[in-house]
Amino acid sequence: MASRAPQRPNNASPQGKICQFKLVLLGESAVGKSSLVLRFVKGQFHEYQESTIGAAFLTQTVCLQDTTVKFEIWDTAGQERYHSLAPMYYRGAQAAIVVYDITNQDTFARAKTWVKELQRQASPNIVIALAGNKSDLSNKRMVDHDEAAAYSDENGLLFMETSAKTAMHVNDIFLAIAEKLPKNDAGGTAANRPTSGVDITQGGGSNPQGGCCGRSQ
Amino acid sequence: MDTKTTSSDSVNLIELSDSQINLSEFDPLTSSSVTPALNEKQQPVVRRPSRPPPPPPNHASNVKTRSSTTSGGAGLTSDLISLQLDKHDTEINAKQTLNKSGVPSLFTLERNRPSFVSYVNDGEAADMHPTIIKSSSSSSAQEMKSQSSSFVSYVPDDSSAKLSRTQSLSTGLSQADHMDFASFEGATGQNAVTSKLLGQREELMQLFMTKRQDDYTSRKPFRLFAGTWNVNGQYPPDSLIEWTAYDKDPPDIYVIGFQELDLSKEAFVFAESSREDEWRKIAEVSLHPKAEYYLVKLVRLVGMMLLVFAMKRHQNHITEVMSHHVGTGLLGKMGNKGGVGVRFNIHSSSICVVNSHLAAHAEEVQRRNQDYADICARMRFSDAYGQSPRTIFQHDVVVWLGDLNYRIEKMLPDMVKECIDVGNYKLLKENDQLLCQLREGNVFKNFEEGEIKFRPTYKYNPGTDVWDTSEKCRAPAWCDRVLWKETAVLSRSTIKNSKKVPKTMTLKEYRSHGALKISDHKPVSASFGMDVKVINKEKYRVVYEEEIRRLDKMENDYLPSMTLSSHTVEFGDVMFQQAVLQSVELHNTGQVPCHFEFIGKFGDNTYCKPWLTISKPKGFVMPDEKLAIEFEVYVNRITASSLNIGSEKLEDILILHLVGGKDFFITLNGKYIASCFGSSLEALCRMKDPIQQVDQKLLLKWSKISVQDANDSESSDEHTLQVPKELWWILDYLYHHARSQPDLFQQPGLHHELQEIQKCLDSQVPVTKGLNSLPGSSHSSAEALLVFLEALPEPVIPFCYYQQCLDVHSNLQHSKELLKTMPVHHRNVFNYLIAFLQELPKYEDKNGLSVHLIATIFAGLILRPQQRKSGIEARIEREKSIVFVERYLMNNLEEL
Repeated sequence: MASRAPQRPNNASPQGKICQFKLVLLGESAVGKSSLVLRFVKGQFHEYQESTIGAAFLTQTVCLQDTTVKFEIWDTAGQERYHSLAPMYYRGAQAAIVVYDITNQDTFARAKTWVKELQRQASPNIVIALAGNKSDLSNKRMVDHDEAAAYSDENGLLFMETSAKTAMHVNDIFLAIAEKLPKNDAGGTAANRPTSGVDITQGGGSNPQGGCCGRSQ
Repeated sequence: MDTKTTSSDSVNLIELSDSQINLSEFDPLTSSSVTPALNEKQQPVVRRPSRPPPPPPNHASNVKTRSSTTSGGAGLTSDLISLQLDKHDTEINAKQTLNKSGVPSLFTLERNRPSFVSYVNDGEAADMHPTIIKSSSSSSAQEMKSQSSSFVSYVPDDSSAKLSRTQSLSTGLSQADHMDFASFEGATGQNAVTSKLLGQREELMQLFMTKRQDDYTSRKPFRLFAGTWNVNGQYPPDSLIEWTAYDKDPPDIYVIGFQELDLSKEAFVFAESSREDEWRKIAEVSLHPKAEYYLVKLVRLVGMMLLVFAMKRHQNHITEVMSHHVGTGLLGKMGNKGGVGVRFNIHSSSICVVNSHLAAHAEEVQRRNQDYADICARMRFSDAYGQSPRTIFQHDVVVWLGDLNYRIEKMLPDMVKECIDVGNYKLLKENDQLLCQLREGNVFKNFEEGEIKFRPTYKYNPGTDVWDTSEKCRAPAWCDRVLWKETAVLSRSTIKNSKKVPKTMTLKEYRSHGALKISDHKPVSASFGMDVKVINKEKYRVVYEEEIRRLDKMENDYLPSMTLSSHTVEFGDVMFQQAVLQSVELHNTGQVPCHFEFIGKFGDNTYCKPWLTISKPKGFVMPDEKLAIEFEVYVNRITASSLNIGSEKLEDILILHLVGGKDFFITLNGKYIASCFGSSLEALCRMKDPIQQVDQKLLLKWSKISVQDANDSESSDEHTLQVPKELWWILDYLYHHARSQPDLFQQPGLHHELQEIQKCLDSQVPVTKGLNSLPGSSHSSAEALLVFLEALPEPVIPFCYYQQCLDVHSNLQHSKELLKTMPVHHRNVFNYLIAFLQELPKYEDKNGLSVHLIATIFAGLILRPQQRKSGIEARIEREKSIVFVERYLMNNLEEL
């Protein structure tokens, strides 16, 4: 009670440090990028998901065995006319999910060009995952699973067929990315950051936190 | 005019310029060459202006209103006006820059404006600033909307407590405080800022986990032995077993404090002391025989030594062992008095032990209290990196022991001894200084102590149980004590469960050990049962994931969120200098104030094209509130030329960024109606048809003919007009219908009439000379001429001639030589225009136009620099250009 400083936990958390990564979703419009994010972040699915006009932003954390990975997710507009703005979002991203619709061959072709663009223009060690979404509609399948898998192998991509509707492989693909991301480099992590002294950023940031707690009670 | 521009044509041109052009005869559309007929009646006018050009007051006010509104004629001939009205000069220029052409400078202005942060930091303590933007009380929301300084001024009035709810609102807002717009790069800027918050996120998670520790920890009972002994500088005895192994069961942890371990001067001055080793060894061998122990930590300051032992089997669970010492003796620093401390974790419980020797002498109560406070204030436990030092009280349990030196007061020694002999401890305790000070809350706040049931431990004749018989004959006292304190965190988390707070520490016995007699003090010890928190790893993981989900949810819920009434803005047909407004409504549908701003693409500083103005390029919208943002397209002479030729379109995608959140794309669409205004003379002279009927490819091709190679292209097969038909049309009309018009060129035209004129010029061809008509009043047609000249991407006298013209401004002969080298269309237009202007002063009695006034009006249009200048230099240049034009007006047009 006499202490002014907040109580500290007594030992380092078993979860270890939190690493933060920027992840961007790319792909033709209406392949289900926003739905994948919504499923992953909020566990929801909307049959009629609005078209994204811009770049939606959400965060979600996944816990691995010894680290915690926080994704900053940028869900981009798929429409071709916004294509030129995409680099704003994949630039500096450590991970990307390129999404196509297994019932539409064109979206797979488009996904391949996205992969090429990322390989050419994004940061060189970006982790790219290919997601064949709408796997629940396998009776309308137009893209062969093995073909996409082979393509992913050739290009060093993670690959899964997903369904935002049934949630199949949605968490898995994010988890797989989290596993594959390098955790040891300083990029994105803020562990061991000095927590004392008059750090201006703390002044700004600690208040919202305190408020959050106040609210939640 | 279909004149082939071969060298023979130059003869025609010379003829044309040889004499005054008869305007009534001149028809650029006929294929016949220009008839250089000199109208005998029209003698050259050489008249000095009878009066200085009156600054028409209606003009001045007119310009002011125009530049602040967005009417079609805005900004028109501001050069001209500012020539006459120097004092309005700056104002008009500034407004122009801001309103129309200067989006970048508008941006700069915004940036230079003091930010909220700096406002408040100036006036208030630095830690006020997070509250600024966080306010969501409705009254302040209103003020916030305006983003004016009045918004800032409310801040100090608001109590920070009231704001605490909204302080949570978003990390985004606090980011905004620190946002440096220069370095901000949209999506990537976001990344940089949030990573700053990641450390805070970790801290927050730790806080959450601490609050929920009951959910993933279980309690494991431990035994703790806490002993203290002032050994009076004696050598250790053979064993301490009567003290340290007093209990039947072996303690899990020992904390043992000694005072006056070494009274030698050497110990006082040097860090080394042989006694340390001797006492440590004897303590080690005296630990409970039923268990194996290891030394966790030893810390010594002069005579104060603290030893921590633990059972070997706990070794892996005892972590983060740190120590510190604080001297409060001589000079408030020396180590003869003070305290030594050790902190460590056992499993998940944190323990801090302090062994202190406070100031001596019965009357020094305040001194002792002060020593205690000093130790509390100065003792800090830091890790090897010196980071995040902890205080004594940032632990689950604090055990404080030592020779605290508090005495029994208000009683004579004999009286005390008598009470002791009859076992009347009650009276003694009433006069025990420490208990009194504790009751009064002066020292050891919230500490607990066991009930004292043992004889005072001071002062004996060494080696005996006999009270001090020395000269001083000290009264007996309970100098040696053990106290403890459980800090709040445990109780807080359990209060929530509305159960009775389970104590971590349970005192089992509090006693002294008379068997050890070498010192003038007897040792004291307290044995505790201690419930240590042990983490269940599986449960921890589950709780951790739950909490991180909760944190994610909170973060996502508190992200700024908006809906837009539309993602596309359609402007429809847009004409030259005709503003079109559309608006989009922002609705804050999130839970936090939205700080929005339009951002450039890929680090571009400009967030929109120069033909667009956004009413609010950045600002705030409070939750549930709406804000309309207006987009205004206005094509001025600078942006017109590329739109005319179709190399640029009225299309763009704007990025509306919510600070700390998502981006919206807003697509703009408009169709620019090509106009002769803003087209180049080269292109216009090649257009036989109205511009709106000309193939865009041709326009693009023609626009690429630069002034420099215009002459060369003359030799091509192209049949060009001598002067643009649109210019001919206006001048023909003005000459025939308006030359006697009072206040010609001094009274502005009407906006809608100008539009009609523009439509006319852009979609029709003129008819026969003298029969052309233009809609609207003469004044509107006159203004159309000024607009036409002003909008020329390359003025009548090309930019590259500007400086040379100024150099020869007073020498007509030289300037004529110079202008002969101008491209042919520019020469033609210049001659034609001068010829027309020379006509006007002949009717000065009616139209009020003197030569000087005409020169003043037209100089800035005909002869203007590529870069607008300012200040005295601009004024001098303007004067020169007026003289330049005036010379021409007062002379016969001779060959160019």
